[in-house]
Amino acid sequence: MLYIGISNFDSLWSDLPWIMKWNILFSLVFLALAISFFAVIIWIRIYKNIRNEKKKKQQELLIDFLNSFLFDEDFDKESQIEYFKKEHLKSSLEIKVTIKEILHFHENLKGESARELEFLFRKLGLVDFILIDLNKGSWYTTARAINALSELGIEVPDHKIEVYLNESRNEVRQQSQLYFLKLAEENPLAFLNKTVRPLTTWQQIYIENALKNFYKGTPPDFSQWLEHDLSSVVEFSIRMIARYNQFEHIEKLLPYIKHHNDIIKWEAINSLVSLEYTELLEIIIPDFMNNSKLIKLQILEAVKLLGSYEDLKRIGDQIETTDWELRIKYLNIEQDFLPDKKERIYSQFMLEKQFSI
Amino acid sequence: MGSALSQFTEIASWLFLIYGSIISSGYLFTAIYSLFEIRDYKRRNNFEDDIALLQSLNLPAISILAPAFNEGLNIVENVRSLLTINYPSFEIVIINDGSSDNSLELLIKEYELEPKNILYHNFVETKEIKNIYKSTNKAFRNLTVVDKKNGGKADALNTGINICQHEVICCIDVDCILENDAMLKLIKPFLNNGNKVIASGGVIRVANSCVIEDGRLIEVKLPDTFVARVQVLEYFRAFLMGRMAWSRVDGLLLISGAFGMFDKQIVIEAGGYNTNTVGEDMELLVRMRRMMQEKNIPYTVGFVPDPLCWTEVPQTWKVLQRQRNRWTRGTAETLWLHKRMMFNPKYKVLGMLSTPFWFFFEWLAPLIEFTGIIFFLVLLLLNQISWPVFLTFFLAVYSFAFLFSVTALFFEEYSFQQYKKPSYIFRLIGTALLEPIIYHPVIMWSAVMGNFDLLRGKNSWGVMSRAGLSNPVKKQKD
Repeated sequence: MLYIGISNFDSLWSDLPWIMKWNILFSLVFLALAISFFAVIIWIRIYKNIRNEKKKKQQELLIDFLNSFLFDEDFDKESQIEYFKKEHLKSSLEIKVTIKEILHFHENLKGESARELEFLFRKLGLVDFILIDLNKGSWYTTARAINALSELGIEVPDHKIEVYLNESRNEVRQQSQLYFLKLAEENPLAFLNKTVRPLTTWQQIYIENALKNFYKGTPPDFSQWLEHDLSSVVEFSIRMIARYNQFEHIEKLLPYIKHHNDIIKWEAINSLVSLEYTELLEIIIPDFMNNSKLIKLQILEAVKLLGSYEDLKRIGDQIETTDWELRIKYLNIEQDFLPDKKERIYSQFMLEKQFSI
Repeated sequence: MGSALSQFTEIASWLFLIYGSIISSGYLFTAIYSLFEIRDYKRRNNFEDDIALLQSLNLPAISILAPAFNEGLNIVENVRSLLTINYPSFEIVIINDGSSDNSLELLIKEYELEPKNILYHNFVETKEIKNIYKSTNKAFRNLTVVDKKNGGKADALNTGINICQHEVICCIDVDCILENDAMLKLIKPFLNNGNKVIASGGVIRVANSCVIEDGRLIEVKLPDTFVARVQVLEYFRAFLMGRMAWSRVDGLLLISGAFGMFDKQIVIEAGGYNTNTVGEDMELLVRMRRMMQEKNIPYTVGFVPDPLCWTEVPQTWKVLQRQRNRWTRGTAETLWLHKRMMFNPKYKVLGMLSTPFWFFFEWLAPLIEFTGIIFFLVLLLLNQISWPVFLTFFLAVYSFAFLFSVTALFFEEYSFQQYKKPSYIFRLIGTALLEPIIYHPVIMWSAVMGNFDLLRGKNSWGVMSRAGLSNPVKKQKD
């Protein structure tokens, strides 16, 4: 019976025109794929729900455990840690959630409690898992591992992280920079000496943030990187000299206001303005014409913050009437210097604008 | 005669088949590329929360430009929502594009505005500005309202570009709902890239039926109407599959007008928004990219797959048709304006991949589909239809369309899983099953009519009525 059925199907199929065969085949493949995707969607939903449920349970358990560990004096730390390790750190999910939750607690605690958490992290053997992640080879597990190490202040031999300072992925580089910075007791930016890949602005923001919020030692002497091969490092150092009010480096900054790289030049002028170096105007105003628009705008800003109306007037003649961006900047500053002539300056500008159109 | 007809039928069938196979392969590749890109994005962002940076003073200031035309019903709430954006330094520039309602009066009253003589220059030509307002209340010091003569959305955005203070601009629809960290996520590509970033775009999500309070999204819900629900699937396909893939090969040609960030100087250098097209968002990005490539400056365009911006999509067939008609005209106009890029190796991925893709698969697809239907009708009249072949072909096309939507749904589940209720999955699957039969023909027809209207010289947006997000019906004409 089955044989007859199959042979009928065979003859029916072989009688079909090729186009129908292809259409049927494609339809079946597409439908099978659609059904498979649907099944995967359902599976993902169930998997994520179960996973979230397990995560929630582990988190609740950890919150109780960590609270008792940190704040309950009667808590038998040794035996409870052993028990937790044996009973609640069996699966990789439990380990991941525990690491994440301890990191989260650590972020919100300082001083003795933070040290206690670091001790707990080691006692639970979580450092071993982090080190496994670190050596796994994929960039995202490496970045995640370095992030955990730096958050908890866990030291590993320098060379293990140094290799990632010049990794091709931004994320890995950023985490290794933050690792050295957060764990440093002095010279937190020493890693810059080993950096050969440019710092992105995003990394610079992170580094500055970490310097301000995590590093407790003496601020580094930023001038040591003014001669760095990477312009992004030079740019960052110039900015930091101003942010950390390192007035003693003003002289060292001066050559940079004539730098060939506009971004460095801009940063140098900006920093010297922040450091309220009034002599700056005597150097940059005469040189106004020889600069790009970016620098000219910054020179005007410097005059606004450090100079007088007389200084501004020295620039006035050097701005072309068609250079609207500079003119607007100039007139805005002029309005600031001469508040009683604000309306007149505005009306005159609008008239000129109308005339030029 | 009979033999000639059958030969013609044979050739036409082959052409349709080849075209269908190429388009399907194109979609297959975008799906694969997107999967890699989403996986990478998730890995990049799963161990660190950038939100701590919101306290940083080192982030560049942003000018948020929001054009408004007859938004009186919600303008006050919309602006209040924008003012609460979580970002260290930003200004909001509302451009009242000659509204005929009381939008301006409401803003003046609510935000204590008064005219201010602000110096500006028309770096990009625009319609006349009547007045610029600033608030006397320090709490709203970062709000600027520009009142100008009506000139359309592109003209309003150009006015904002001329007036705004900062070097990074974010162009948004005034009524869109932004996620808390939307600005931070959108600016990240500008700051974390070796190349110069000229623009970055985010994913737009459908806000219809979602719970919104005080301009913040409280709960994600699936839209109640079929029309809006299909657009949820469409947006998954367009953003999670299409644009993610194009972003991976740096071939993005479109950043949605509802939410995009740009380098102001590059926008001005490129000439600002084109006021002569209804597809000003796509046209601007193509022009910016073209300019950068012609100048041989290394650059890139960023794309963020996180759901950052929620917007209301058309809920009625009529409004939807108008929107798609306009999109088609916008695409055609942009492709025509930049026809020299097509298959031009000088423009690399844009010339050899992106523009041909948009031409053949975005613009041409509905026209070919329409021709196919006419062809089918002719064959039907001549009694030349082989019904078994037709039915199996229809099944193949239908199953592919369904597969494509299910794949997009899979991407959403794998990545962001915004629609939490299990019943939503089944409703979306049901929608995906109905879409090719009920929704798709309407979209195809709108696109065909869009081309027809373009040939007739139609150049308007048309009235876009919206139900409003948790609000009564309002009318908008851009």
